[in-house]
Amino acid sequence: MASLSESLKDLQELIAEFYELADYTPLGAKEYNEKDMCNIDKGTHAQFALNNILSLNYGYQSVDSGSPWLPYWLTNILEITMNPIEELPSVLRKKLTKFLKNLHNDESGGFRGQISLQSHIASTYGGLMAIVNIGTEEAYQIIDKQKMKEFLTEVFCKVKQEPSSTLKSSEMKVGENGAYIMHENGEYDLRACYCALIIADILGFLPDPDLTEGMSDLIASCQTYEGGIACNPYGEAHAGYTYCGLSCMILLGEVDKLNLDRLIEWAVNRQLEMEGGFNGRINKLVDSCYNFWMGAIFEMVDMATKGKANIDGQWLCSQLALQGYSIFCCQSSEGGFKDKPRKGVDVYHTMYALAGTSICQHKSHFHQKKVEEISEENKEDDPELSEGDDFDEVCILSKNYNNLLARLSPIYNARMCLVKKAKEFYKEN
Amino acid sequence: MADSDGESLYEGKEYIPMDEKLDKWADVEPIEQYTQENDPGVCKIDYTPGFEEAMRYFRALLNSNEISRRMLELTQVVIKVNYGCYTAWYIRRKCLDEIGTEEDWQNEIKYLNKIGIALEKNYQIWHHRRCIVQKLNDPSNEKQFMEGILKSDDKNYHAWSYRIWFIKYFNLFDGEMEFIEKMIQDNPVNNSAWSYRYFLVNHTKEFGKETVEQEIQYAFQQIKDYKLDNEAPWVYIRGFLAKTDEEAKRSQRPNSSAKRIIITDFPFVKETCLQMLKDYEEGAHGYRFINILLLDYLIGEGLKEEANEVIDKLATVYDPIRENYWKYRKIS
Ligand SMILES: [Zn+2]
Repeated sequence: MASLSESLKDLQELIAEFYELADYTPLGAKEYNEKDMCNIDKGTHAQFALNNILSLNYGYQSVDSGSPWLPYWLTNILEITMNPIEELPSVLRKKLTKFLKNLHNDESGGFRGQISLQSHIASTYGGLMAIVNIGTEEAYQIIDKQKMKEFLTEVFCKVKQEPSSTLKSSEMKVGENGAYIMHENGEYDLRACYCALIIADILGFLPDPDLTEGMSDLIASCQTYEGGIACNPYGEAHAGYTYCGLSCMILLGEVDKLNLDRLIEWAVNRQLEMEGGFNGRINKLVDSCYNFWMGAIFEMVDMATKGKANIDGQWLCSQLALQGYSIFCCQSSEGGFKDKPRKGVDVYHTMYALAGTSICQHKSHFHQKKVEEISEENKEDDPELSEGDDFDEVCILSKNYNNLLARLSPIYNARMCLVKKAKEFYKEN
Repeated sequence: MADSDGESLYEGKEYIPMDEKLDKWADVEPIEQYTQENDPGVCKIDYTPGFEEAMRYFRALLNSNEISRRMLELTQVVIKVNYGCYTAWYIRRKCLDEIGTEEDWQNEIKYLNKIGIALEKNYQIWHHRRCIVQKLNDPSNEKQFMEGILKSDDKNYHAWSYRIWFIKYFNLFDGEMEFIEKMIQDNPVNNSAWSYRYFLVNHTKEFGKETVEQEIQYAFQQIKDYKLDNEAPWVYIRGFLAKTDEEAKRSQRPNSSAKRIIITDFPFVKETCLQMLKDYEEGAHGYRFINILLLDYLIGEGLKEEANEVIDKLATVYDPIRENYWKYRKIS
């Protein structure tokens, strides 16, 4: 196993070189004052997204069975990097709508991962989020709400199926009470719960015990001795599952079932002191997709504690050190972000690296408003998430305000105005 | 099945286009991804020819709901080029259920063993394996298979989840403690192994003062033998102590059988921390972990001022990247 610690050492040395070139260290991020050295080239990243919308290289075959994610990732890169006043070109929206229409399952509801395949809950989430970003009525209307509810009910494990060898292998439904399986006869884990809950929330199905009963207890049982959340009870805490579990608990209003103190402890320790970025599990390597999966957790614990988990509006991690990792180690001058130095760029890492960077550029909404006011608003909806930002209310490496990215909702990973617009549509239709 | 098309692909032979094997596929009209009308012209993947062709035939057979021997073979071709195609795995199970012979079922495990390492990061194959093993009601291959997988990547998340499933489902706890000691010994920074140890202890030992003490001692030994900045054993220790805390709280409820053990029942924890603070240099990697554990203990003792002193040191000297967090932890 020497090779693993070896690769860690290699990586750290490489990162140290990058930082030295920029005369930067994660610990000194606060004092860093080389504006010209730390640009986020938003135009190039937007262009990278546009190029990929037109054509994707064969490497994306590996996500072919989850193809509704592609328009979501790509439009989200555009939403994050484009000036909020600009909008997606309407030709593009039309074409992306057509792309998604092909993948909607008119018979059993939800989205297929690819033409002819079964409906899949993660692809359904990806497809819906793409629709949210496209934001037109034509796109909203792709979804058949009634069928969608039937699909969700189909993959929800309201009562656990007793496992047995007398069952046909193609009829096993392996989820615990309160879980969702990914598709008919598919695997189960917390990603499916998150996807299902976001879908149900945006389409206005919640509250509905027929879609959520038992879920919060299941999630609570997945919180591990480390403090984070695993895919299954007694599994290992993982950034992605912790993100999914915590989001679900917030949407369900059941955060109290988690030990938040321990979750926060686990989360703050995911930031690596030398690299500045996050890893997703204890003793694993830094990776820019955790910019989002971890970064969002910090904003969400602040929401969950009604504004108690921030220091002068900043999250409980080092927001600046995270920005440094993204800019110096992951950004490609040709557009796009990589997971870590020496890797290639890809659409997935570009979106999640940018989304997490955006979250780490912004401050707590509770810092701007009195806690009492917020809790009033909470009664009817999520905390108000404003679009424009005052420069005092952001936290940008080297005060390079040109780098400011559009603000996202940590729970939905989309701009809140777009989520609201979609919700309003589905409330009426 | 050994001489089927899919199987030969796994031997590394060249891909043979389907339409050259006219006899078997002559009656199939392959289906393109898009017609001219519904082609959106965006998010187009530049597919390799083998990928595209396998999917064209698969779509055709899917659309006619075919469950047959050639469909079973075709799923293998699809999986070869497009292992994330969950419906191919599903249809495979369906074919086995409907037309599989005893031999087919046995071959399925062999097939999964063969491609398992190449697809170790794939969700579908692990789920498929679980369905097949549950159906066969035979876990006799599993530990051996696992060995190869963990040799290739000892932190494979799917593999550890899968192990938890089959060990519990078939009640195979015998020998697991020895197995995990060896895994940790081979690579003490492997947190997946520590996490699995936690699962084992909680399923095989009675929770009580003795067990907690044993586990803490074990973890301390690993830290001392190996290295100070190994987060895994530190978190393991603090996880057990947090569990005693929860149990102690639960024990306050009426009719609770939970035991009232608390952190201060283990004074050696504090002693060990204080000794380690002396043994290591302040600048040593991982020095913060000693302080964090000590902090837990001081809080347990109700020593607020001393605890705050440690917190201040963490914020400014031992762990400044987490300055905000330590400010948040400050006890007022
Ligand atoms: Zn990643």
